[in-house]
Amino acid sequence: MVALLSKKRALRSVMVFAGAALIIILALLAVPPATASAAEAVTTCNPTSSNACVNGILQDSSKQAIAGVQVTLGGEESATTTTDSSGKWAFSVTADGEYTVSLPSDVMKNHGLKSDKATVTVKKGDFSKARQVVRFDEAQESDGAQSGSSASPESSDTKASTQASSGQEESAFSNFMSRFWQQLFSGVIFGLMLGLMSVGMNLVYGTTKLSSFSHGEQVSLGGLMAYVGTQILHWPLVLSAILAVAVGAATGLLQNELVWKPLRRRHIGPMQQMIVTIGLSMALQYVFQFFFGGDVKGITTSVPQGFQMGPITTDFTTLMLAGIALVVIIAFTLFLYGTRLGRATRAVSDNPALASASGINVEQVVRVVWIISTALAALSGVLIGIYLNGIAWNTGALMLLLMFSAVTLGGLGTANGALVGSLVIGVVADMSSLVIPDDMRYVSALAILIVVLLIRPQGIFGKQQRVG
Amino acid sequence: MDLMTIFTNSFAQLIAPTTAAYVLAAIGLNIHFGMTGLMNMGQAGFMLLGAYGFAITQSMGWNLFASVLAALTLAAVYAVLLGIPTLKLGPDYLAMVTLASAEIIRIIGRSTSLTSITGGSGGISPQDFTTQFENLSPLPEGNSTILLWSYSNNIADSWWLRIVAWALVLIAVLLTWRWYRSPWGRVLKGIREDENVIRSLGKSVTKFKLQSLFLGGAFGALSGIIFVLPRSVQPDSLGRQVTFYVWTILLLGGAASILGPVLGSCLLWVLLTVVKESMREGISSNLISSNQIESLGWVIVGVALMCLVIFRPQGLIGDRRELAFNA
Repeated sequence: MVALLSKKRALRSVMVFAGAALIIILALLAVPPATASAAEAVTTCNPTSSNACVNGILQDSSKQAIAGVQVTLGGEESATTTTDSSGKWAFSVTADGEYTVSLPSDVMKNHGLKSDKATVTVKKGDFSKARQVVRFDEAQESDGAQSGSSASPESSDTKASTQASSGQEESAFSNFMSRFWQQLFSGVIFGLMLGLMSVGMNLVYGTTKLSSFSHGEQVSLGGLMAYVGTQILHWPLVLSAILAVAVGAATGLLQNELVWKPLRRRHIGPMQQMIVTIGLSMALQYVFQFFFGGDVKGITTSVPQGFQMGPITTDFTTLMLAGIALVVIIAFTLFLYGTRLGRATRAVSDNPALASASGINVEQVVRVVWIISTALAALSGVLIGIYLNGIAWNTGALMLLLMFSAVTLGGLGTANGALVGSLVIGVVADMSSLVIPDDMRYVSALAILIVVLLIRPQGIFGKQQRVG
Repeated sequence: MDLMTIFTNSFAQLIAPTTAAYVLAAIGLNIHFGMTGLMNMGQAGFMLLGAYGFAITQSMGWNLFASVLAALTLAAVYAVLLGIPTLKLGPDYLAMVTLASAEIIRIIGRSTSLTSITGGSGGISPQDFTTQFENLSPLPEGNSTILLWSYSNNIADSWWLRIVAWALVLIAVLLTWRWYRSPWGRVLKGIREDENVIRSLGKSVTKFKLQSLFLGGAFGALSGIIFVLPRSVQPDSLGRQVTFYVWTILLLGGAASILGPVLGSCLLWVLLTVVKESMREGISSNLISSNQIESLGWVIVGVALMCLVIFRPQGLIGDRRELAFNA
């Protein structure tokens, strides 16, 4: 078999090795002996070889989140942050040692907290001490900490209970495995949501050959509309989600009628149309920023109750979100393969001219595809907004590149390719934070995009043909 | 008095080094897109790489010209790495990969684990890399005022930087003018219009595309250096938006025209500043905050980009016949 490889194949495998080597070098570069930089307030923190985490969720004794409270970190390094809408706060620290976390004392009194100060010991690389979760309300249940070790009070001089190093007996390996399962789980959840975003984008590409750069903004739009529903109009969440999907579908219909259909009629090539989507993406992003500002908007304010499920900690909301994503994706697949319109869509995807000749109304199909695609994007925006505890004007734009990677990996224009691609990208992005710094985890997903193009440019499900 | 401020600030953009940096980036993109038909959606990646290559080697104490060479070398290596997997594929793939790679560079650059080299998201501050460039200036110390505008002679956002930046623009324009009429340029234009024809003439299309990608990227790297000299190297200031600005500039001036990038950049920045400044002066800040005015500026650029492609794809001074892309 090897002997049969043509020169070209050999050249290609050399390039693959070169690409792989480059990625390994990048990954190695990513883990240098980091010089001590100051502690940093972050939205979410995952311990790596170069940083440790001190974080928690500020709740009062009845488990209501306390938002907007200034949390101060002192000790080896210092920083301040404010709790977000769900009471979460997190610091990423680089030096090992003792840290003290404190709150303004009036907050403690007003919310009936047991303490306004807690001291923890942090040690990088030690899996039970790389993440310290601080609670001020002295509730004893497991609080969704990822290390999976049980909570036990450590500091004796304060009454704050601190989840700490009871896990001496737990070997580093079992801790690594529990983080492994946790990241795998969150990767699958993220992948499902990414899949929901990408199927629509892929279908638009399949039927019109347009890679829509503004698809990310459709996702942001969904999340922001849900925010408008729950937080401004004070509607229930389900109604807000329906509003978001309806607005999303309407924008898809409008876009197709006002922009894309006239452009197709004037025979403007997909390349020029792609530049139009870039303009649209910019305009929409900053329209969102104009109306909603630059900060993250929380869709829900309640903090879900976490529970243990095998090696992973999760909560019902997350499972529910994943369930919704899965059901919608399955329904969408059934639509594509079971209904007349679905078959017509796949026919147009395959060969628009032939489909048109056999009596399919191509324009009608494209219109439906646009509506479905933007509606699914809006729904995924709602889901991801709840999952990530909020949506910002540029959330969708950040997702866009991951969507591109997913779609390319699965095969541009293939129906189920997007889902498989998304799951792979989601898992890789989340699992890569086990080995590379957390702020570089999207790099791995983007690197996959490049490697796929080297090895199999048509993607997993794409037909073997000359691409381009 | 207010009108005068608006006028002065807006027309200061005509000679600003940042405008020149965008001209250089757009000239690079013009080689990619206008001449060869390559959809490079990551020009900011080339710029950021150039900026890092220059600033990091400068802070290590390299010679000024060695640093510029280092920036150009980085751009060349990057162009080859990008080109090998994508140039044989369709334009969509090149667009996605360039966009993704530019993001990779930015994310790696701002990562906290590389703080010792790149300065993380805080970046590299100007005193670390501008000294040699400022010392090279033949101008005397102090400030000068020409017509309405007053700048320092040598330091930071200076007259010296303006002279160098626009001299580079002049050289770049002359070079592209020469290349455009050369046999080499005609091959590139042939690739843009129908690469199969060029292939049938026995030319290696991939090789020419790679050369084009490198040359355009080199201008991108130079533009990155000019872009960071009056400020600091900040990975987030050379993000995706910069690429989109460069595209708007190129399409506004006219893709595949020699002076299109110059015209596009000057016009875009003057107009954008006029609009923003008059909104700041005219609308009370209770009604629209200054952040919102920034956002509105972006919305205008986005809508302008859409309208240009839809209604006047050849831009202001482009030639419609030059836009027969192989797509």
